[in-house]
Amino acid sequence: MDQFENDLKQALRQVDPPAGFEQRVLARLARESAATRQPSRFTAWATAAGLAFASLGGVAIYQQQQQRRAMEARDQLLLALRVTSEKLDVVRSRINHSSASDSGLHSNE
Amino acid sequence: MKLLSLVLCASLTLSAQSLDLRHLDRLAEKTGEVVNVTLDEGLIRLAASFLKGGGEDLREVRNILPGLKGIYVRSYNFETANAYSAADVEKIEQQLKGWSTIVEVRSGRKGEHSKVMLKPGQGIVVLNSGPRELTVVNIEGSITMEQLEKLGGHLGIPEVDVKKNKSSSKVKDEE
Repeated sequence: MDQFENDLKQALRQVDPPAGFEQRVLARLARESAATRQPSRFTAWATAAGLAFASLGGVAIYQQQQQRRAMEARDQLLLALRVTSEKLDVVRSRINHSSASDSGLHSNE
Repeated sequence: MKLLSLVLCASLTLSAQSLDLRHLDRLAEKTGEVVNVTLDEGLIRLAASFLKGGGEDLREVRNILPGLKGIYVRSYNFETANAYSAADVEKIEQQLKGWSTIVEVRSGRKGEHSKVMLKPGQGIVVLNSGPRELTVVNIEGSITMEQLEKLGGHLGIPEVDVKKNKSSSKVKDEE
């Protein structure tokens, strides 16, 4: 038991660090800290760029959708006017036809 | 029997309250030839922004657009007769009480009926019906007869000669 205690004490004895150990540790910590800060800057820039692109993309998509809606509306408008035109033409031709075969027509004016 | 009515007035400002045409929607199932256009004021403004340029043909169209509040078209061409009922047409005409009929042509023999109606300050409605056809055009908003006349020849829109019959009113009835 005494031998065991002695071995344990021997193993756990306080040992002074080698010369320059503290400076080396601090220097390494500084290097690693700088290295870890670099990716975070990159990430920030990448995120900002991504957001900018996403915003620009969103605006472009919105404008494209608006343009498509406007073109559809224009096509619908022209279609509506063409149908109106055709139907007014039908009315006119019915009037003309009615007037042409109007021998028995009398006025209620 | 044919009834021909002509009441033509110039320089009238026309506008309309939206007609309820929902009861016609079921007719779309009975034909493959349907024109269904619903343009509210916002869509007309949007469409107008895409009519810039486009030459002389579209100039008159562009001129009338600012006064319009809606354009609604329902047009059905059926393969068989009697695909719609008289009640369908009556339901539309009931909504047009108080409107002036500027043109009406009715042929009992052919079963055709055409009507152009307007209400000053409200709009214009063209109603064409026949055994195999039913069309309702509702142009809502401010449009003058001169503007309608000027549309003649543009986009295939026939000329409407209102000056010749200005302020005249005729009702003719033919058997």
